[in-house]
Amino acid sequence: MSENRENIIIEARDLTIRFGGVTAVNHVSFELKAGEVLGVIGPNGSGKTTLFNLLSGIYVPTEGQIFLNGEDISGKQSNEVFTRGISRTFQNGRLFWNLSVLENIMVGLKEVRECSVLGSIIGAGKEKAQAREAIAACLKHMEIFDDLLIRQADKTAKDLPYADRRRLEICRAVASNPKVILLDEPSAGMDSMETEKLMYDLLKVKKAMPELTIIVVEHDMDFIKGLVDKVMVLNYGENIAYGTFDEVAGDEQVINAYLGQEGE
Amino acid sequence: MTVDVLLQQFFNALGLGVMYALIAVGFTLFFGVIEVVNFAHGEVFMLGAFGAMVVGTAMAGAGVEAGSVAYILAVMAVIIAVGAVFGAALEKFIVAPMRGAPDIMTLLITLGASIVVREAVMIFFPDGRNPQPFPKMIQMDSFDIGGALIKPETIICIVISAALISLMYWIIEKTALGRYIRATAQDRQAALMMGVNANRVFIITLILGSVLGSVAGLMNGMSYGIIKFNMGFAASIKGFAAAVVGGLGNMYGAVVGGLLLGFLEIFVVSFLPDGSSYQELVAFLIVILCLVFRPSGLFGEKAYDKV
Repeated sequence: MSENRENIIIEARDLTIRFGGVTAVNHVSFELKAGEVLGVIGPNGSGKTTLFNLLSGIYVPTEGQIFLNGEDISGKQSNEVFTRGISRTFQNGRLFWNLSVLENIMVGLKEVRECSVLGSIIGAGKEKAQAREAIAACLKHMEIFDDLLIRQADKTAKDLPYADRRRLEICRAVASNPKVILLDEPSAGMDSMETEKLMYDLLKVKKAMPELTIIVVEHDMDFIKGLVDKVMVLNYGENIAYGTFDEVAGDEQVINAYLGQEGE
Repeated sequence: MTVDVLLQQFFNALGLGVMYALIAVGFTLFFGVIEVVNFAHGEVFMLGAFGAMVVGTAMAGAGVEAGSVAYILAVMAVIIAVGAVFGAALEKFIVAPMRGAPDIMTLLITLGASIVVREAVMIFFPDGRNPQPFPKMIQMDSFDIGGALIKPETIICIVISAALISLMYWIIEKTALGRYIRATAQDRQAALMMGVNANRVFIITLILGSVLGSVAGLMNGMSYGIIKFNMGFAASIKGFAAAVVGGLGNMYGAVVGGLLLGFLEIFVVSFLPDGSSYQELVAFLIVILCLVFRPSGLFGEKAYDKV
């Protein structure tokens, strides 16, 4: 854990959270460098989403710390975590349904957030220029998804087809140029063709943003295998295996806890 | 009934309706964004009227002519200050400490705050128990519209309300601030996780809504020429009813609900024999019927359509 620490973007150290007598995440530690992709797998209820909720500031850890670029961010509020560079998507999709595609993306943009309240209202020159820049930045990120989002930029989010909603969530999360993005089951509810397209899109995101560190929770093992550098396996909140996909897939404990369940 | 009388009543109804609409927009914003039913909202209406009366009387005492630029600017500054301070204080001392508590607690505490403010004005304002004459804010002749003589105050109230409601629409729909307000209204947690400072959105929402309520109080004083410490109670009930009829959480619904209530009241007064005795009875009967047949309000829709 000690070599080349200056490259480490995100580090979880003994991260633990208890709800009453239940330990949902139990002394989980990992560290990732810029551009690395970590897959988090494990059975339902193993603490994957809770881990994301800790990393994104929804929950405050009972024990342990989270470091982003060396800064201890544990216990910070979600909006502060986001502005420091961690953005996320949600398992069940949490778009702003009544906002347009473009507006959904613009909510997270630093350029717009830094406008003064009055400036935002009266649309002063500086704010207008910032809004223009922000729209240009949005379009740049939307291009990653071919023309799928761009041609629907003015549609309200609730009118998008399901797969495009998931795409929009990912686009919204990357548009703020985060250091780390957390993807919570991005392919949930998609058929195999849509999943394949999503993986292709994520590989394009990786190519367009090579410094972006990605942590992805996913049940689709082909998806995980095709995308990640390392895999962490959670079971009852504990990290039971950590390594490359092939290392983890051969681990007996993992097969018993999770992979072995497939086909049952 | 002649055309001029009809026109007269039309403008009266419009003037009353836009005043209710301004109050209702506050209620609907608070509910839509902060999920709070703020029964103290009527008191900012009363304080706005009292603030305008105090500054108006003082300016007149200092020899500043009613309707002059200095006079209007001073009244505007006080009205905005009353709304802003009230909204900010409400967030800091009433709403924020109750965040996470059951809704009924927040409702009760705003009701309590309402009584405290009302009683304090009654006790501590000089001669606060009695109706206060409201100074004349402008020096203009009545407008002759199609033979009907319309008070300049009525026209000014309608114009100011239309401008403020348009401004609110523009802020909510077209600005970055509005985007944050809508995002927070639709999914507070997701907004937080997109970097939106929800606490800031809450306080701005309370200030915006309270300023609208404060302006409505000024309008009430201008229209009726007399104000009283307990005027906020009826105003808050009517504003709330208008917001509920329109669909609580829906801004356009609040405007329509306010206008509907205004027109209903004036209709009953003008067209039913001895109408003024049961103006409120009939108006609220129709509100009840509205809600029986459409419980979510005229424009009430799914949760994500609010604000």
